[in-house]
Amino acid sequence: MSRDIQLGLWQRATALRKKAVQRLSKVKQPPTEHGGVVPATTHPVALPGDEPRTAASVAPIAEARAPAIDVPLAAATLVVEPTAPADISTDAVTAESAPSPDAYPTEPRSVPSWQVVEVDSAAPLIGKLLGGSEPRLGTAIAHRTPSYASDGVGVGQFYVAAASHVGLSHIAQGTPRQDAYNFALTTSGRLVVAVADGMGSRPQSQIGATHFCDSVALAASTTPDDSAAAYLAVAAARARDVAEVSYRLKPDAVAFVGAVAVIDGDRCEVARVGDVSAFAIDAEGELTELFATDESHVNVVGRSLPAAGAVEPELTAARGMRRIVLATDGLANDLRTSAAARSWLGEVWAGLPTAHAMSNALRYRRRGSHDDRTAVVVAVPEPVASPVTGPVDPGEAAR
Amino acid sequence: MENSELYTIFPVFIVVDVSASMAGGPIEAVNEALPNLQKEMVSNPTVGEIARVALVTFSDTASTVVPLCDLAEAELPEVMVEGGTNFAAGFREVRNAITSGLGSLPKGTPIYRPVVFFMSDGEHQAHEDWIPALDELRDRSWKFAPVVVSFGFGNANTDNLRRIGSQFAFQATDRDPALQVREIFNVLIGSIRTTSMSFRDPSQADGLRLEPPAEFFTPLPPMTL
Repeated sequence: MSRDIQLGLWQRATALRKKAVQRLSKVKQPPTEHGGVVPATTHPVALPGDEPRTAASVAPIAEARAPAIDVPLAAATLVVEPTAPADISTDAVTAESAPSPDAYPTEPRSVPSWQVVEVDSAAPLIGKLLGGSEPRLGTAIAHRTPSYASDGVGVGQFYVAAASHVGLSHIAQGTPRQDAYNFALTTSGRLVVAVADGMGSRPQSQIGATHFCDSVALAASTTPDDSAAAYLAVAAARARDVAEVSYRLKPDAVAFVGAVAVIDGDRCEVARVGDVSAFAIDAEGELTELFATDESHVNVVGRSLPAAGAVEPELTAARGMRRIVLATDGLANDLRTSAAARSWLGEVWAGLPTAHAMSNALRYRRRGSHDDRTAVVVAVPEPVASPVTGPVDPGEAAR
Repeated sequence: MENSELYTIFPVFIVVDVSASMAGGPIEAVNEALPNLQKEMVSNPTVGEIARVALVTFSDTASTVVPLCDLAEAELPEVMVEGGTNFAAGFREVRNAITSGLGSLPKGTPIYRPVVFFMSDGEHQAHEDWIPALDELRDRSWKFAPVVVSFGFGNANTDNLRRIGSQFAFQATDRDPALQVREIFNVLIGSIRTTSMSFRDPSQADGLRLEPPAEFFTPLPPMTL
């Protein structure tokens, strides 16, 4: 939709609003005992010449109201800037006395205390814990993601259980979950999985993380035989393009770390940039991290996406494992450093958890574990070879 | 994989000048601010479950008044003024506090990069050179090398503050030292809160997310060595 057409629609909406106001001002108000105006709530005011509203009469207005979904948000904002968007709901006339959007307070005038309902969980409480924060969304969060997501689904010859939870840190700040995941089955029967973790210091990094994962799924659906590194590079570039073109955001504003796994039968190759990680679980339930553990400081990271130049991901591979797990560092760190969390998750992942069971698995509460948590667990077909893990030539792993 | 529980830690070291010139309002402000910091640790789980705090004081000599600990469970001492000003003693003592506080942690414990908040109202007065002790503290090859944030007020020397701060240095603009000490602790609490609640930032290689002072202080450009 061009800007001219949009401008025309908004002008039309504004004109309709003005017309309605003019008609309202012409209404002769019935006098009250005190000579004032009767409140509309006790004596509804009929507008002279006002036709009953029908679907047909409302349709053009609805069209004018509809945002242009194929136009970047920034462009749409430019179009509506000269005048505030008209209230074009079916109650537009009575809404005239409402304050302009600019007059609304930025915070609720009074913050109620909610009596929320929770369901029981066997998820463990680990370590000495302080009280949690009540979920409360901050103001002006432009690109909110759902706080929780989960899956439990058969995909070709694989079963995939996945979940992503907003972290306590984001809950305390009223900011959205910045982790993301997605997966797709290629036409050649391979499973392609992506996880990503937006940088906490970038308020819009969830855009990069989400579009990266979606772009991996898109790439897998169109080019079924690429390597994990190729999917990662293509998806990172697309996430950067989407951020720049659709959101008018520089790549740095949507910075994230991410990983892609390609699972073909019982063979798996993984490419990553940053501190997301991958684990393998063997037939005995033993958990092995497929990448070398990063021993640098927790709050210091060296590499992220979208990269300015060519992407050179770390690569690793595994073969003959029962489960492959891709995880963001909020969960990977707990898998490395918490026997209790590892035991709990291992017990759940030994089976084939439903979406609800997978989500429940991530509900454990652990001291100091406040980051978003995301895990994609893939149950692979019965192994045909002895288990092998470690950094190997991905080309070798794919053969 | 670790067979026990290794909890993530954000180590914070507060280094306070307790020379005689700190007597009165400034030292009282320090003693009033410490309980506020403790309160933050208790009331905010995203801070209290991660941040560990140590308090080091220095004058002619230095001592670790509160070793690195969960401040929520610590008994807070009353900080008293002492004699002269020896930066070198302070830098050596905080390096020792970092070594003993972090060196004793089990291998594999996830650790944020340590932060040292240094505050002084005067100039180094001892005969010994303080630069070697600072260089040893900030030695990037040391695995526990901290980010150092310096705050100066009273007679603090601007160039010294720039030299001490590895990334951030601030000079007071107001005349009331007690107000300045309060503002320093506001920055300290805000920065601990923001850093504890954030995770990895490639643009800030040192990891600290500083909440700069809102008033009474001028940021100083870091000194290029």
